[in-house]
Amino acid sequence: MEVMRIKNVAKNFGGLKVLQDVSFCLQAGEKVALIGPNGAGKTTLVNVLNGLLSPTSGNIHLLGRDVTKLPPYERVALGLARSFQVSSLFPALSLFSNVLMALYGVQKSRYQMFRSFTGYPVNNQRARELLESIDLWGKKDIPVHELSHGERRRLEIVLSISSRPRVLLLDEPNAGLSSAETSNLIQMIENFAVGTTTLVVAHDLDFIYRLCHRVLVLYYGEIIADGSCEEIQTNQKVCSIYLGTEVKDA
Amino acid sequence: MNVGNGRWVRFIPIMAVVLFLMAAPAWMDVSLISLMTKILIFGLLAMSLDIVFGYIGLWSFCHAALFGVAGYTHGILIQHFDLAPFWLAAPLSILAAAGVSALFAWIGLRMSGIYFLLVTLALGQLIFSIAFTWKELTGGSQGLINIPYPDIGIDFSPTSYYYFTLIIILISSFILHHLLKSPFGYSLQGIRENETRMITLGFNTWRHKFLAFVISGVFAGIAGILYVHYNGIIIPTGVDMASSGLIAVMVIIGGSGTLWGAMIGSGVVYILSYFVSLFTPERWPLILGACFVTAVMFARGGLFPQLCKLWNKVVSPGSKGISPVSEWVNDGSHED
Amino acid sequence: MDVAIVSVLAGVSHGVVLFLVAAGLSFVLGLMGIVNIAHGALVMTGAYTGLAVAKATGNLAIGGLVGALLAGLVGLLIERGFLRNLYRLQLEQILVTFGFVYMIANVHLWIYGAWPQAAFVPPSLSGSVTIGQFSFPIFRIVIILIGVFLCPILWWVQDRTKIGAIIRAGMDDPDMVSVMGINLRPINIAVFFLAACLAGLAGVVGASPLGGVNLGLGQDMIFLAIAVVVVGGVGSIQGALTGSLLIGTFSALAGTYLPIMAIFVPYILMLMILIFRPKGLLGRR
Repeated sequence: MEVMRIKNVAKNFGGLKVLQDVSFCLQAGEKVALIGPNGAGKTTLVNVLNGLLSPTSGNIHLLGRDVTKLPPYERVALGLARSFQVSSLFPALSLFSNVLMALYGVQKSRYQMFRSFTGYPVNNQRARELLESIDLWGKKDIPVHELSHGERRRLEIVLSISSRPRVLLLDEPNAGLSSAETSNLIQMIENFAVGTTTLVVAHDLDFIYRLCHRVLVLYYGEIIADGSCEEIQTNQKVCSIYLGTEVKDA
Repeated sequence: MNVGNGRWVRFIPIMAVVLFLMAAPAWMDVSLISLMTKILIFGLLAMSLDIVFGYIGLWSFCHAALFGVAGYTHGILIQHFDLAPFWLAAPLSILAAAGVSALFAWIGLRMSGIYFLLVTLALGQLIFSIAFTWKELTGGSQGLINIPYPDIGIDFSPTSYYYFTLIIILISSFILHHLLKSPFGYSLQGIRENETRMITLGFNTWRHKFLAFVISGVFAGIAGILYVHYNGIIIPTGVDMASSGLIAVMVIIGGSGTLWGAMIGSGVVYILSYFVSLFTPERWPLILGACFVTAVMFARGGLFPQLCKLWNKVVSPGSKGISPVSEWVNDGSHED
Repeated sequence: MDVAIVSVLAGVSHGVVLFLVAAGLSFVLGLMGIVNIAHGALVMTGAYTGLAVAKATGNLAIGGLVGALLAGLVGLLIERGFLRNLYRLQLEQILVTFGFVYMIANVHLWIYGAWPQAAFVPPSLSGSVTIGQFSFPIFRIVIILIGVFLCPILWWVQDRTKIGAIIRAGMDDPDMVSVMGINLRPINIAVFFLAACLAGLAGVVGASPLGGVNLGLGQDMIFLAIAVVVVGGVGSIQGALTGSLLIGTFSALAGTYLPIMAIFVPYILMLMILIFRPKGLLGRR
């Protein structure tokens, strides 16, 4: 079942064409990687899918609905979530509050003015589970600006998946993480995003091959390859971009 | 024994302050009671500003104007239209303040930071200019005068009006405190901390900011109504840019984003003003300016967080972990 | 017809005064990101002192120079003593300048008392020309001429000199400029100083069209200067000129034909721009 369809999406910034005629589909439950050299337009594409940027042309369908003109918060309500390449958290608030905030994002009670922020046991319980799953329950009252980089990345992912999204966009989730932390991250994504359609932007091919079955290659704003991991590994064009050489058969 | 973890401990200073406020008139003379009333009224105005300024992080420089809209409307209704019943004029005045806030928010929220500041500055000054020029309605530079105490069947005196004000302030503070502890209240802080993230989490941040601004205007309006009865007079210079700036001064001195800091800031400004005017009333603005510059340069967090830290040391001398201030104010304990 | 001409001329002379005040504010905002609320108080500083000196010596030029320099020095004090310690803390910088408004206004009250100061017009330049059945003060024409003289010079410096290019680059991308090896700090300070000087000069020279100098001048001027910067745009001479001429002439025309609206002209223009073209008419960004 198709959950997301991107058709002929282009994004220009003035004269600069960052995305050109990007089209692809995401099927339910797929884990797809989006790779490409720096400057290819990967984060721009994620921003367009997410709604932070509007495409210059083309359209985007999410779960059958045309969301091209919808603002990000309405796409979230439909089941889209996204994480940021640079951790985007609430520095002065505690970890617990950060996670709770994410939970309220998809609930009507975010407009609630009379009950306490911590007055919904269901939310408190879920926040606790989420923090325990990333081993940060002990630090729940600490303000986020005191966390280490790795801890922030874990929190960043948790905020994105807390809404139990149907489609998850992860922008370089392992940016700046050590290999041990990356392994934990993969575990985390596999646990949380079971069955969730996921698009992961990444550079690390090992990371990708462990997590995803399908790879999209973006080069100067165009999708130049779309296939399984094996297909991409042997794809001439992709190799010449990354390695500057032609591939020899392994 | 570590007393500090009991939630009741936090109530002790609050209870002490409330008791003090209730008992104060017994040993204060009229001028001091009048001072207390003024502190409470402007404290409420400063608290209303803190919602927008401290919690959302929007630099609003028009709150004196919102205060003025309600104050003037109330005064005009009472004087020009003989709408004597307080319970009729007051809601209409609050509605006026809310309406103007909604308009200001609608115009101003399309931008942020400096531009928001400039828009609110312009809009605030616009209200000032209207108050100044529409002489038939507002009395021009003379203002509205001879506004009596509220017509609610009580024969008011400064003391009884002080209690009337105190009750309204306590109720308003209670409402604001709980509002800011609610999911909606926290969403405002979320917007301040990282608006893009909030949008990406599902929050319609414009709507939250708009609602908060209108609510802020409502409470500024309540302060305005209390003011015209307290002062008997309202003049244009009370609602101009400089006045809005003074409210911001109070919020900063007390601690922005803490709600109670605003009330403390009001207290500091007016108590200082009272004492300075006993010696050199003409030099008050100079001293106020100097205090303000000092506060901004060296004590940016404001007084309230320092008081909290002090209290924390008193009740649990050994403890190290002090929750972020924003959480302290909103009950940092999450052991529910 | 004559009424219109006289109004426009009055508006232009008013506009020139506004330009002198707003240009500095605009460049400081564009280059350093500082909204100097005390800028209006600097106008007042220059005005009070400059006029006192002018009256004592009988020479407006000396008064203007003294006023400008004093305003420049006060501005420098604020920047070097206080604002530089609040680097990139925009709100704090605004609040500190706001505190200085209180202090400067009160110091002037202390020294000069509460009565407004009359403007000083040198005897050689007093008197008026007749336009139709109206007379128009010669001094105002002089003000216009000052503007005609100063504005192209400033414009030329902005567009045609190396220092102007550096300043414009500094407004677009200060980090890039320093990476290229150019130290922006002395330039920032110099611009701040010059902006303050211009404001002081405006106070001395412009007292006449402003109708004398009083303690409220600081607040009035800062608001008008902000309006000019919003309407004209940040960081360009042409923006400051456009904004000030628009506000000046429309205020004057309104004053003649629709007096009630005169006071509202800056607001209306400002709000229209903020709603339809928030970056201003001719701003840098």
